[in-house]
Amino acid sequence: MEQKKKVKPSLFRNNTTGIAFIMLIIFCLAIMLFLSIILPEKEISERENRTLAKFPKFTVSSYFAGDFNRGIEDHYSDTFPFRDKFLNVNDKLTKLTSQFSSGGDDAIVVIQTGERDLGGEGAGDAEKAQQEAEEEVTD
Amino acid sequence: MVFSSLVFIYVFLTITLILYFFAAKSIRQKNVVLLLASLFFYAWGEPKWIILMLISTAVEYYGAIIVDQYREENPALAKAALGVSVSVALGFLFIFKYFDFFAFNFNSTFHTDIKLLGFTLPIGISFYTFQTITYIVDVYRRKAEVQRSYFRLLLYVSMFPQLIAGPIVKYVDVEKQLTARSTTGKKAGNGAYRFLIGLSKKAIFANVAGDIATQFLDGNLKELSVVGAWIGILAYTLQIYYDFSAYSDMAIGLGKIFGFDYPENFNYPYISKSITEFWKRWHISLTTFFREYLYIPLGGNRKHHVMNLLIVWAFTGLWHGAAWNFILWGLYYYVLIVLERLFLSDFLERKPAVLGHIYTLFFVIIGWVFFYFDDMERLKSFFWIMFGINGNPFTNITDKAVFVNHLLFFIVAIIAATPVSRIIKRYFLKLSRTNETWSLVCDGALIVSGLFLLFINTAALVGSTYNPFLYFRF
Repeated sequence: MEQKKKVKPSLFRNNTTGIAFIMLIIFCLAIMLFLSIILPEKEISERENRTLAKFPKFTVSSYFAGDFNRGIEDHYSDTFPFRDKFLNVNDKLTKLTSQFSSGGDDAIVVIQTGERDLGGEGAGDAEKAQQEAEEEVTD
Repeated sequence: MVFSSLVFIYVFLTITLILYFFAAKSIRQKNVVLLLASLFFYAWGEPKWIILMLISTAVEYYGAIIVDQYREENPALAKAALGVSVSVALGFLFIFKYFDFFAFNFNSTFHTDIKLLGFTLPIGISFYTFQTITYIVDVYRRKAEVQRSYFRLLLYVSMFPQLIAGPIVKYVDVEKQLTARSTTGKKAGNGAYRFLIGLSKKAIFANVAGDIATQFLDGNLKELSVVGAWIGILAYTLQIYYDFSAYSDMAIGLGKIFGFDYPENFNYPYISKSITEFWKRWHISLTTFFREYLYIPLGGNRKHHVMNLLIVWAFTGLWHGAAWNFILWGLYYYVLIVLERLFLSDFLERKPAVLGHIYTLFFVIIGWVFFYFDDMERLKSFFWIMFGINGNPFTNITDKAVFVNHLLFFIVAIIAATPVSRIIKRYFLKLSRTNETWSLVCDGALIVSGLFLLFINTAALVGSTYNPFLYFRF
C-alpha cells in the first residue's frame, strides 16, 4: 500500500533565501559556541544565589552511569554565554504565559506555577528541583 | 542529550552542521559525518547499551543478506533467516523492556520466584527495533534492495534526528537517500524553520502545559477538586501532543537539513471526528508500522478481523510501556474502534460534525488518564474525582486561580493545536507570491521570525533546568 505523498508548499521562495536562513542560523550557533569557549566562566550566580555546576570529574563508573555526561550538560547550561540576560528574557516570557488576572474587584489569588504547596505523597516538582539543587551544592 | 537542550543545539548540532556543510564534500564523507555524529549522540545518552544497537543492526544486516541470497533456491532457509533475525530484534526488546514486567506478574500470580533482571530501558530501543524489522521484512517482500554496506544500514538505524523518539522511518522510505540525496537551499531552510517550530512547541508550550499538569495530577488526590482534575488532564492532553509532535517536527526538520525526507507523524489529531480518524492523525508512523507489519500479515480485515484488531491494539498499548495502564489504554481504544466499525461511525456520520468532535475529544482525554497513571489506585481515584463520585469538592480557590492565571495560555495552546497555523502559512505564501515587494518583505519576515524563535527558545531553555521528553520512556 503506497501512501500518497503530499508535497508541502515551501516556506522559502528560492534556494538563495533558504541558504541565507540556514547560514544565518549556523552563524548564530557558531558565535555562541565560540563565546562559550572564550568568555570567562562564572562560578557563582548572584542572581540565583547559588554555586553554578562545575565541569564534572571523569571516572569510568560515572561515565557508564551517565553522570559524567549529565554533569557536562548541567555545567554547559549553567555557564551559557549571557545566561543572566537570557534568564531576564525568560522571566518576561513566563509572565506572559502565566498572567491573565482580570484585575479590578475580582478577588483572585495570583499563584505562580510551581509555587503551590501540594503536600501529601507527591511533593511538587519545584520542591524536588530545589532538593536536587541543594544536593548538588553539598556534593 | 535531548534536542531541547543547550548542549545539543549549541555544541553538538553546531559542530555537526559545520562539519556536514563545510568539511564534508562527497556524499560518502557526509555520511561518515552523520554516522559518527549519530553514534556519538547515542553513546552520550546510552554509553553502555550502544553495543545492543550495533549487534541488533548486525543481525538484521546478515539476516537480510541470507534472505536475499536464498530466496529462490532455498525459500525455507530464507524464511528461517527472516524469522531468526526478527526474533532476535524482538528478543532484545522483550528482555530489556518486558521481561521484568512479565516475571513480576507471573511471580505474584503463581507464587514463583523468577529473578528480575533490573535493566534500565535502553534509549530508543522501541523505535530502532521496529526500524530494523521494516528493513529485513521489506527485503524479504522484495520491496527493498538488500544493503551491502553495514555502515550504511547502521546510518539508517542510528540517524540521530529519529533515533530516540521517532518517527519510525521505514527503510524503503530512505533507502535511496542513503546513497543519493539532494540538500537544496529551500529544503535546508524549510528544515531549519521546522526545527525551530518544533523547539518552540517543546520549550514553550509543552513545558508550560507540563508544569500545570503535574500540579494537579501529581499532588494529593484527596485534595484535588473536580474542576482541578479536569484542568490537570486537559493540560496533560496539551502537553503530550506538544511534546511528542515537537519531537517529530524537530526530527523531520533536522532530517530535511541533511537531505532526508521522513514521514509525517502528526496531523492535528485533536480535530478528529472519530477515534478511527484520531489514530490516522496521531503517531502516524507507529500505526502505519502496526498496519503493514502486523495487522495485514495477520489477515487484516479479511479473516479473524476482530481478533486481529485485538492483537494490534494490545501490542500498541504494550509498546508504550510494560505496565497494566498501557495495556488498558490499548484495549480501551480497541473497544472504541470495534464499536465504531460496528455502528458508531454510521451513527455519527448522520449527526452534525460537532458531535463527532466532542465525542472524540472526550474519549481521547479519558484515554490520557489511563496513559498517565501507572499506579492503579491513583488511576481509579482520579476517575472517581473527575466524575464527582468520591465526594471531593467541585472546585476550590487555588484551582480556580491557576486556571485563570493560565487562561491565555490555554486559549493560545488550544488554537495552535488546530490547523490555524496552516491557514496562516497559506495566506503568507499567497501574499509572498503577489509581487516582488511583498516577496522581499515576506523573505525578511521569515528570516527575522526564525531568528526570533531561536532567541526566545534559547531564553526558555536557559530558564528551564529540567525538560525531558515524555517519549523517552518508550
